[in-house]
Amino acid sequence: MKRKVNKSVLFIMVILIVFSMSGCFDSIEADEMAFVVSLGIDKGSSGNLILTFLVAVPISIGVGGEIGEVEKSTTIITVEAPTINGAVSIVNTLLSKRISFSHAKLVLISKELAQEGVEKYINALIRFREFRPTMFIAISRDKAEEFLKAVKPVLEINPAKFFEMFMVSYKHTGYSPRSELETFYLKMECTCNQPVAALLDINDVSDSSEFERILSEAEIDEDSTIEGDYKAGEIPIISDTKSSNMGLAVFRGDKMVGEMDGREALSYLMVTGDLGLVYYSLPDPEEGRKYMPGDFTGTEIEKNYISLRLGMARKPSIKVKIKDDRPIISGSVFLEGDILSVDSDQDYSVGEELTKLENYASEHIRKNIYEFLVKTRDEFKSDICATGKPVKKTFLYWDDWVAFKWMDKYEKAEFNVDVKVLIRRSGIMTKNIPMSLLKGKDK
Amino acid sequence: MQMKQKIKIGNFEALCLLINMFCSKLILDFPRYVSEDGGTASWLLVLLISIVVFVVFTFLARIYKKFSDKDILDVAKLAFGEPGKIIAGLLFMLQFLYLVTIVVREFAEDIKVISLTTTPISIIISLFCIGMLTGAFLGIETLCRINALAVPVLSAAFIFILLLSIPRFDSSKIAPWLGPGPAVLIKKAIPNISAYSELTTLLFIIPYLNDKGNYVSIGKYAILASGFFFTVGTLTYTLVYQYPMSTEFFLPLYQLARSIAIGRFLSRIEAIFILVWASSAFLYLSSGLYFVTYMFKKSFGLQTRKPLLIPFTILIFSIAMIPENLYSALRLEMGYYRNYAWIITIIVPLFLVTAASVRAKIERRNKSDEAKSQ
Repeated sequence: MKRKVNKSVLFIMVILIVFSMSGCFDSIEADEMAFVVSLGIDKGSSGNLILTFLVAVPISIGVGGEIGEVEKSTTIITVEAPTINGAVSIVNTLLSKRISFSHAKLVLISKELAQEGVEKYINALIRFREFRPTMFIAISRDKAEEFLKAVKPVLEINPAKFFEMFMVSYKHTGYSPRSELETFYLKMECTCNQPVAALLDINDVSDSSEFERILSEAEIDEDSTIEGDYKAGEIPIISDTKSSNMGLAVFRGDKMVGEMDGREALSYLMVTGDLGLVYYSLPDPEEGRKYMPGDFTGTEIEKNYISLRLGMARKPSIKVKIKDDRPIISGSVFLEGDILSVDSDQDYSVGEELTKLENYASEHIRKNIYEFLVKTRDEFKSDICATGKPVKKTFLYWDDWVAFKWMDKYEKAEFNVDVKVLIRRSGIMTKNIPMSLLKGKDK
Repeated sequence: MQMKQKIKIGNFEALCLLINMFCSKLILDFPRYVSEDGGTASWLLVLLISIVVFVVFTFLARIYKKFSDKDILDVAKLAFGEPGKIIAGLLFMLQFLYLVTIVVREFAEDIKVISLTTTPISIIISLFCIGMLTGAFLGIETLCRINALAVPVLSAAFIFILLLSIPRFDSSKIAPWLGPGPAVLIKKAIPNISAYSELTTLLFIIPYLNDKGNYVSIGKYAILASGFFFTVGTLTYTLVYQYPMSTEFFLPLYQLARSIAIGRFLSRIEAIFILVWASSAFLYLSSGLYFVTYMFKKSFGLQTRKPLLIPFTILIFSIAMIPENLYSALRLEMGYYRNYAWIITIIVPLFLVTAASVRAKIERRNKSDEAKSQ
């Protein structure tokens, strides 16, 4: 009898736990929530913030196998409030659903606000469990609100997936940094590193006649190609998708101190080892001459390019020596790649020509990286490539390291950059037989 | 008495019970608070604590050998008679009561922060109390067997989380290598020995072990395994989150699990963490409540333990509701328990065993003197 009573008590207890664990208090259905895909933060009036919520409209994204309407897949809500959570409360007063950030992909902070410091916003985002640590963070060169209004994904109906893929495009373009919320916070709090964020803007070019103006405004190196020499919003491109992600925002502590273009972002990825597989064009080492038929027969100088696909062969190595209280930073970058295209008649696939191309590409990239590092030192005074890490490893005690003040030392750094490029393959062709060899230059 | 003889605990079961008792704090706040004490060298601090505990336990086990068929309260009785047993029993019981109360509140607060955000804290604590009551009701034999089933699975899940964190490891985050310096590490190691305060439970289950002599190897293996989990867990955490940022997160391993994102599909794996965490919590609290009631029963020579379960559960629930907020609960643990618990875990058993040995020696001498005089 006693055993029976015991078993009944146990059974009741287990049932009680099972039912209570279903979480009656916290139960909320997915269709009772409004999922924010992206949050824009702009400076408001009298110390307030202007917060823009790009909210997914699941019913328009599509149900089951049915495809929804791209145009209606998101809705925009903009509100002025002193805090992010305060803005959420205000938005909740006009929605039938509760705002949720558990699927938010991007936090976009305006440049104006970033220049004043982002620590308090980052702290708010890190503390609130709904914001994922892997959420992306970016800086909008113009207003974040305008950017989010202009975003019109064309090839992707799911706005969350659009932002996710948009922000990881650095892996195959190399023109923006890896820019996740927690990584940003880790770097912001680090004593040997400074944070960077992706640079976004609206690219509102409607006609190709504007290209010339854009190119004349861009800072283009004469020896270099022009691809990647832009910042977001300044790219000569016409598209239904207005959003552009190119360049990086440089921070010192929590304050944005400058911008870098796509090519500099590429150098950043090479030095930090975050580079994926990217297309990289460089001028042909040989000066090209083009035969001009017709009334002006003869040849004239022609700009030829070589396109490579580059990736990291090994993780980059950074070594630092301190000499007379001045750091001498030696960076070694080892890249490998394939030849994708060669404009000229030159065959760079084998032998001496291949070595010549490898050496030329190495020097070309070395120069870019060196200029990039000098810019971080002189213009921004910000160690965004974490060159302080090897120095930190030479210390035994925390107090000694803090007293060393690495960030001050970085301003006096000297750089030695070594780049090695190895061409592993030459596409699906072993060589290219120029037409001129078969038919003559004027045929 | 008949019931007592029926209880049999295998070596592996006892080992798993101890590992879960030690390591459950790893999923609470252990990596954070050692990070506060040890800075970038927190993993060295943990290694140091584990070595110290291993050495102390080896010494304790050696002098305990002559009492290997008795639990620590029997030893206290040998040393100081019935009053000694009652005082020692109450001391150990109060330690466990305090610990279980804090832990139930911490677990409840944690689940409120990460999962049941709108559920009142009283409801969450009640849920834990029901679970712990059920476990403690079933008894130590059942708890040990469930531990033997659960601990390998929980360990695998724990290691899985740590392995997935490897891509984010950065050795510069644990530099400067000696953090605040060896002197500070040694000084901070002493209160942190309290991380192993549940070692006392081994001294209570000795009479129930299949082979009573095995308590030495069970204790050693439990310290070694837990030392490994503590060190690897702390090392992983600090290799991902550098000091002083490592002192900021409320639940270090949860944060570690939350940040894992490998590709588009392997993310949000904190769901595994919550399962590991809740299972470990229920087993820990059930075992804790069992030992509280067992110590009380044994101290006062009561016949049965089960009638004590509901009153003690109510007591634990009531005390757990006293702290005003999460930080008050944390202060109870970090400010008081951690600083003094090692005295009850290490010093008191050493004192009792030494006293019992001395008394046994004196008695033997007296007996031999009497025999000689006769």
